[in-house]
Amino acid sequence: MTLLEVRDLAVQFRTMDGTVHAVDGISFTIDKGEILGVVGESGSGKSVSMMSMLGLVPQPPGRIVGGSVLFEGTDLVRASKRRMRQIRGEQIGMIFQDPMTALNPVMRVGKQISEAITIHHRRTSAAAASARAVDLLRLVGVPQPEARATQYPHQFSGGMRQRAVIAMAIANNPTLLIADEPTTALDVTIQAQVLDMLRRAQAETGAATIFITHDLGVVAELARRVIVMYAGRIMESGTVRTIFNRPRHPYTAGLLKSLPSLKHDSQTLTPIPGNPPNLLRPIAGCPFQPRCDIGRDRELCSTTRPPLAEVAPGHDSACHYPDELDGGREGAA
Amino acid sequence: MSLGADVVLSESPTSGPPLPDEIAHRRRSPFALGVRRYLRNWLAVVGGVVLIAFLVTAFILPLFMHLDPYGVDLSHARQAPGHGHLLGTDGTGRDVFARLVYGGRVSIGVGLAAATLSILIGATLGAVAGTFAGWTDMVIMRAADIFLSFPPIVVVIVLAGIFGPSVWMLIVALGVFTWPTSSRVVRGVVVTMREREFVQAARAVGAGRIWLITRHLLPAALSQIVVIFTLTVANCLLQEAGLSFLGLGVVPPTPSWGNLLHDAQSITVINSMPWLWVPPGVAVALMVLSVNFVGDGLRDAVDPRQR
Repeated sequence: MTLLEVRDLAVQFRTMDGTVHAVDGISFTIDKGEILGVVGESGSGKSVSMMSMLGLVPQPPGRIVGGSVLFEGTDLVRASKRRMRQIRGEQIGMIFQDPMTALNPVMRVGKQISEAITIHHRRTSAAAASARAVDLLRLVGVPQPEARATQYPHQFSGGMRQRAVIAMAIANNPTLLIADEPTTALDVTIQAQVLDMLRRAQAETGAATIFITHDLGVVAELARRVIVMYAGRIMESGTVRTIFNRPRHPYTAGLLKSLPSLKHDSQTLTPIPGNPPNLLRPIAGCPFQPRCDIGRDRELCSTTRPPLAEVAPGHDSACHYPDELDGGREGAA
Repeated sequence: MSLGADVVLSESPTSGPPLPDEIAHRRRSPFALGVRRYLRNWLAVVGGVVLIAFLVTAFILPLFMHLDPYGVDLSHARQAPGHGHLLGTDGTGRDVFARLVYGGRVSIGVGLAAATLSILIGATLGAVAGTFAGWTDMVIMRAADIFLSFPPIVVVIVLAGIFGPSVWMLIVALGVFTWPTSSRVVRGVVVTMREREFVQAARAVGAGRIWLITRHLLPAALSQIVVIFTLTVANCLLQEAGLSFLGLGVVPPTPSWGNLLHDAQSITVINSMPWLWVPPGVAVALMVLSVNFVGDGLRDAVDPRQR
C-alpha cells in the first residue's frame, strides 16, 4: 500500500547568480514498511528533495515551485505550518548525516530524545519521557543507557551519537523514516554497526524508510528498491537487483563501472568523464547527455528531455535509448 | 554472475565490542571544565572575591550590625574617622560608613536591576530577530541602531528634567538604552545556531519557533548573555554614579555611591575631608573593576574552545 507519493516535485533556489534548479520534477512512491534507496552524487538533489518534503528547506532562498507530496492523504507541500509540525517527528522521522552536529552540544542526550516525545505529547510527564528515552537508547544498542542518557553529546563517540540520533528519529514510532546519509560521517567499522542498527530500528517500528546515500554498497545491502538521481532528476528506478544487474540508463551503468570490484581483478577503475551540469542553466534535454557515450552526438538527447518511462515491469529509466546499453559492466548480465 | 554481489561491501554486521565506559565517565562535565578555566584567570578570581565581599557588605552586613544612614547629628558633623564612626561623619553628622553600605545597596541594586531589564529586553528581541529573520529582523535591528545612537546620559538628563530624578526612572532609562548591546550579541549567536544541524534536527522532530528559541537558541546564547550581563552591570553602575554625582539620579537623602560623591563637589571637602569622598570613589572603582574581571573570567569559562 502506498504511503508516500511524490509527483513532479520541483525545488529552486534563488541565488545572486540566478535560479538553481535543485530538484527538477521528480516522481516516486514508497510503500508502507518498504526501504527505498536514493543514490546520487553530491548536488544531485537527494537531500533537498527530502528536506522539501518535510518543509525544512529554508525559504527564501529555496522555493517549492511545483508538484505535490501526498503522505497518508495530506499534501505536504500545501499543508499548514501547524500540520507540518505535527507530522515532523510524529509521523516522519529524520536521521541526519552528521551525528557530530545533529545533537545540541549543551543538552543532555536523554533530554534531547525525550524532547522529541514531549513536543508531540505535551501531557507526557518528564519522568515517563526520560524513561522512554532510556528505553530507546537501549533499543538502538547504547550500552548502559541509564548512565548514557545523562551525558552530553561530547561524551559520546560518533557511532554512539548516530545511535542517539536514530533513537530521536524513531521516538514517536513514525510511519516514515528519512535517513540522510546516516553513515557517511562515520568510520567504516562503525558504519556496519549503524546500518545493522538502522535495519533493526526499521524492523522494530515497521516504518517505511527512505535511505539517502552515495554509497551503492550500502544501498545494495539495505534497500530493495533504489532511485538513481542526477542533476535534480530521477535517472532510473527499480529494484536493486535489476538495476545493479542490468542498468538501463548510461549514468547508472557509469556509476557501477566506476566501483571497485572484488571479483574482477582490474588495475584501474573506469570513471565517468566530465562533470555534472551547472544547474543554474535550465537543461533542455537529458542532463547526462554531454557525458554520455550513447547520447553525446545525438540531437534528440540534447534537445528533448527523456521521460522516466518503464523499460521492464517495475523498472523505469529516463533514457531515450535504454536498449543500447548491454547490461552493465562488460555485459556481465 | 550479478553485479549486485560485487558492491556488497560489508558482511552482516555484528554488535561491536563494548565501549570503554570508564573512559567516558572520567571526562569532565562542561560545567567542571568551565570552573577550571575560570579559576585559571587569577584576576577573575580576585574580582570574584571582591565582588562577593561587596555584596555581603551591602546586603547581609546590615542585618547583623546596627547602621543608621539617616540619623542626623549636627553636633558631630564632619568628624574625622574614629570616635565611634568608622569612616567619620558627613556635613549633617550622618555616619559615612552606614551611608556607604546602604548606598552600595542602592547602587548595586540599580546596576543589577537595570542590567537585568536590559538583558531581558535585549535577549528576547535578539532571539526573535535572529529566529524570524526577514523584516522582523530588519525592524528590530534598526531600532537597536537608533537606541545606540542616543547617549543614555543625555536621555536621562532630559527624563530627569521632565519626570524629576528617581531610582525607578534611572533603572528604566538605563535598561532601555543599553539593550541593543545584548540583542546584537544574542542575535549573532542565534543566527549562527539557526542553520546548525541540531536546530534542523529539532525542527525535524516537530519543534516550533518558540520551542526552538526557549529550548535551543537562548540556552546556546546563555553563556554570552551571562558575560554581557556582567559588563552591563558595571556600565549601569558607572552611569548611576555619574548621574547621581550630577544630581540627576538617586535623590538624597537616599544614599548611593554617586550622591555620596556629590558632596565632593566642594574644594574644601576634597582638600580637608577625604573620608567623605575617597570611600565611595574607591567603592565604585573597585566594584566596576571586579565586575569587569569577573566578566572576563566568565568569558574564558564559557568559551568551549579553551580547555
